[in-house]
Amino acid sequence: MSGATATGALEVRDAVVRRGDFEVTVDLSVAPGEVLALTGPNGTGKSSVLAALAGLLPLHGGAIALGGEVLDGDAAWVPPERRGVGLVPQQHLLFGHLSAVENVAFGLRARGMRRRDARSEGHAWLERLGLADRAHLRADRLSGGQSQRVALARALAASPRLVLLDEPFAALDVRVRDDVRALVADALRELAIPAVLVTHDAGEVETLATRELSLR
Amino acid sequence: MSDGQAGRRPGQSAHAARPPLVLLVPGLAALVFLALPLVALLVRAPWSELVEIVATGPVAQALWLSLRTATTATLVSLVLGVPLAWLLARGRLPGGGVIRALVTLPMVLPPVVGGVALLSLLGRRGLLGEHLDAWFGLTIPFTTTAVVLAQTFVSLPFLVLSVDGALRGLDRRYEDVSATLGASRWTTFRRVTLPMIAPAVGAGAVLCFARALGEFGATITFAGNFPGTTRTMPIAIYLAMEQSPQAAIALSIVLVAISALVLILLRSRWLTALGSTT
Repeated sequence: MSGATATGALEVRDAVVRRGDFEVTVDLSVAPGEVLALTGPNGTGKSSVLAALAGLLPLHGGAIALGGEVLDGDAAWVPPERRGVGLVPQQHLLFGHLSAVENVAFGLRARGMRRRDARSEGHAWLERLGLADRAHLRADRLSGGQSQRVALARALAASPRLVLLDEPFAALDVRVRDDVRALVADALRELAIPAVLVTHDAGEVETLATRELSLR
Repeated sequence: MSDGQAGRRPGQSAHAARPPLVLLVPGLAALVFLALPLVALLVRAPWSELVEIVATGPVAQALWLSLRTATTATLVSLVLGVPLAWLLARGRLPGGGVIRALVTLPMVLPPVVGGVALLSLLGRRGLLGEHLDAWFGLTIPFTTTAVVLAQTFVSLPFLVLSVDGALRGLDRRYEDVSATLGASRWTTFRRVTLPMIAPAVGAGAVLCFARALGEFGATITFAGNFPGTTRTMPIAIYLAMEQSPQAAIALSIVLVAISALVLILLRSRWLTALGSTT
């Protein structure tokens, strides 16, 4: 896998996340290699917090910094495409018109890697997630579980400095869920980046997370 | 847009599906009214001489000119119309509603008015045409360029509205994910947005081509009627009607054939476009 860029801790200070009438204030920090589980009942703004971290939802106060660089707040604003923050959404949101391997290579291509290199990197990730034989299938032909694994590979292959996982295992078959979870845990350890995991699953918090923050 | 998979709603009985007579009779009358003229055209067509008539110099010339100009107008509409649709759907333009109405205007405007408007702008005495003539010696009216401009003026809105609708129906989260993967707005547009709205772009282009091919009013006003340079098929048909109705019918059959082809293209692409955006 390609070398990750300089990494560092995620620091969120008094971040005011607002979507419509809803508002939540978050204060958290995640060290490289740490996985923070974000839990709490539905409607407490977990996904909105992830959107703010990814740069898809501007803050209404406070600040977000990653590895010392301010991403949002203090009159600074880094757009999502320059944050290096990977997102694995709840519904996989794969690009249906591209093949599985093209999806995984997307982030590498977007940052200017040559097509051939990006593809071979993509193949390596798919192999790791047990999808080598699906590499050339159009993404809209994959099963739900396969799609979710490709979405994981797509986010991790782009060598993010921070990864956000929004219930990434919920759509997976029970039989493969543990395997994929273990693979993700390995990959996160290897990348040594901070990760935020939204989940409803107590077992997942137990096995994957190093800390838990409950929103209410 | 309901589809076959939606199934019957609980309140819908077999009885409700049988149309009442007050709707059935005028409905069928409308259908007959639409179909019968075309049937007459097919019956009256001089089938044995069709090839001969179409192959004559002037007709082949008009047909070739029409295909060339309508294709060019469609390409111009694609290059200009897709970006305009993006601006309408995503640009957060101030007064977006007014701009959208302005874009729609050529669709409801009588084409001849469009021709007069184009003359007012680009005619030798026109707002812009005056300067084009004085500074560059450029005269646009009554040239093949004028034909393309007239066709583009009336057909561009079809493309813009088709693409605008698709863009507004598109799930924005795909573009969000693309951004988190490091893709610039242009890369996202090129590799995610455009492929996802491709069916709507195709449908819009087909509609655009059909409208450009049939253009008459704006063309004859702004571009005139010169064989080889501005006499398109619809104008040739109108002229033929005065001398030889048989020839006019033969030419019409050619346009009916092209329109039928367009319809087949449209059915296969437009329906998929609607299916993917609603």
